[in-house]
Amino acid sequence: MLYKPEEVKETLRMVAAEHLDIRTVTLGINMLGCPSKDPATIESYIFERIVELGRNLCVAAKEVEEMFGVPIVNKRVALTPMSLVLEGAPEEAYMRAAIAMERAAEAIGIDFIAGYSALVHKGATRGDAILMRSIPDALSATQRVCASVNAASTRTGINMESVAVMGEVICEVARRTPKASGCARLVVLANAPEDNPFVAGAMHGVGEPEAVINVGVSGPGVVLSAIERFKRTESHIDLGALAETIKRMAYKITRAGELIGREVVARLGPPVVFGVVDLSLAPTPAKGDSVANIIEALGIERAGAPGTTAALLLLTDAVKKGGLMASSSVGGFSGAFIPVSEDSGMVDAVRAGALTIEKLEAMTSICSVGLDMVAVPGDLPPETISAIIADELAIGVANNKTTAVRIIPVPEAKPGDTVNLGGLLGELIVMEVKNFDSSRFIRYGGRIPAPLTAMRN
Amino acid sequence: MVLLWENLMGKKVITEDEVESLSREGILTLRRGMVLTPSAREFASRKGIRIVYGGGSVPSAEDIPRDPTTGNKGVDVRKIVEEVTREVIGKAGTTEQVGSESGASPVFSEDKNIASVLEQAISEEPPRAVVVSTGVNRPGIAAALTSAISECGADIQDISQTIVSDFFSMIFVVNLKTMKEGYTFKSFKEKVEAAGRSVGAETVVFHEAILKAMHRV
Repeated sequence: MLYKPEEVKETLRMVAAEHLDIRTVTLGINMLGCPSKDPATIESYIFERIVELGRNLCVAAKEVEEMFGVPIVNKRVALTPMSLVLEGAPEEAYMRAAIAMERAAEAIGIDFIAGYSALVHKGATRGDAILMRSIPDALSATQRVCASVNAASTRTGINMESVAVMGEVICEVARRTPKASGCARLVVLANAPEDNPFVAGAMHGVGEPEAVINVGVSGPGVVLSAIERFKRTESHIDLGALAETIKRMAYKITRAGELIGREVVARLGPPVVFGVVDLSLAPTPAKGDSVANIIEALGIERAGAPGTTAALLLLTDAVKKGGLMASSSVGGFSGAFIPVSEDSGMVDAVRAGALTIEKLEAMTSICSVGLDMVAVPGDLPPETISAIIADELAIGVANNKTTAVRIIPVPEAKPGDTVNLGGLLGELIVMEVKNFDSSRFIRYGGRIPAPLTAMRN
Repeated sequence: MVLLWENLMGKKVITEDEVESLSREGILTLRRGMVLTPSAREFASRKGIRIVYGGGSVPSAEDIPRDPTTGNKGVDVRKIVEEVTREVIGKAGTTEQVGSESGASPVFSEDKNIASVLEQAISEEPPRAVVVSTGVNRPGIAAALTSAISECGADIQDISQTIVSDFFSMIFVVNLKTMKEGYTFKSFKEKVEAAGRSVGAETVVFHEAILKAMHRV
């Protein structure tokens, strides 16, 4: 037999029973070519450019999905950060750009489009400042547009002026969108990758080619089943052997991801090229497709209990090693995602009282993102939100890794309340934040200098 | 050094610059006594020029490592290899069942030497589909699936089947290169899956590439 029946069955089982899917195929598009700063021209340029390059994205993804039998859950588009595209344009142009993004996303049939972004890790230009202040307008007037702000990097430190602004912006978005849902489309990052395929932080960085396909794999369900099977069948189990099991599975997932990405590229044709596979284990609210459940399968009663951070290290490291062997084009976040509301196991852990925001912050020193999809009471002052952001960015800056904050201050909610955002965004449980004042620290402004680890030359 | 010189004596060395002028319609035919430099080979593959070995010589004679003890007598060793290979493949060819890996028709004739057939087999690996079917065993399932496959003109290269109590599981590896005109992967998949369903067998068709990617390093 060309393939062993076990190999064929394993592939089939991974797809049919264990939720192996491609979480996202994201088309990055260079937008730095707008011929004028006139708002009407900008609006039509953005719309036409996205439609021109992206109109076949969904069709191509569908064909590839049928060919390999692996579902591609999301098709998305990431653009050059709009602050660069719009720099120098009148304020009116910012709103029109957001509307053009929304219309184009609708026209090509995708659910999210990212790139309403600014890079302000050292300081903000006039355009960056306008863009950040326009985020509440842009997100409340659209359903598909995602915004992100890179406010810190290891090389530059943390731009605390922008962190202070973003605290206010997040609170305003929460007030102006139903159930604060707009905050799920807004993220503040440190060390934002230029080729990340996952919204809301996706963008098409300035070092990227004209148009590129980046693939985000999924697979917590597959890894979980592999661990469970290994525990059932092997008599001698230690953590090294479990890491090896995860590594092997990560290899297979990544290979499938790259194959599918390259096939989509072949169908889209030039100028689209293949970019990277993002190895992140991205959970979905589906039962069993959960990073928290993997941590529990490693012998921790609930995600968030003592030992969770160590288990997360084992998991993330094994995923990276398996993935790196499988593909030479690894990029994006590439770690484990722990978005609280999108992971049914995390939601259960919060409900059970095992997972607090402080423990989650500790876990983000290992995982690939940060405080992701975390709901907090809506009456928190903006300075406290900024302080939470600053803490998270500090972890990224000091450890030379990406961290991000996607926090949702739900108006009139108390700790323990639940808010359902539906679909992939899942169910939020409002977490308690220690009610002490950090506002003086935030109001000082300025920039926290780059850490010693930045001096690498 | 002497060895190297003797090997090159009387041979025409084709360099990168000459590849394009010597090739016709994207095919570069190498005759006996011609040597391709490594950079020329790379250039040809970059330009999509296919290298065909004509004139009855062995393809990659230059690539076969020489036995240091026999020195330039290496030619004899190569001759032996050539003859043995020819014999083995020739025999297999008569059974009409040459290794499923080759895919191409394994009929040999004087003007189509082993080299060019092998070369073609490697460069043009056929697209293949994997058909997996499971269900409660009953007569006619294999017949329904195989006739659907053959109606498309696809060629079954490998079959594996097991029955555990009343359940069967069947896996086919199918070469799609021979498919009749008008059939695509998509229509093949739809037809075979429907044929499976019509006899109560859960059937899934997917492209071989995904298996290869996941299970072969």
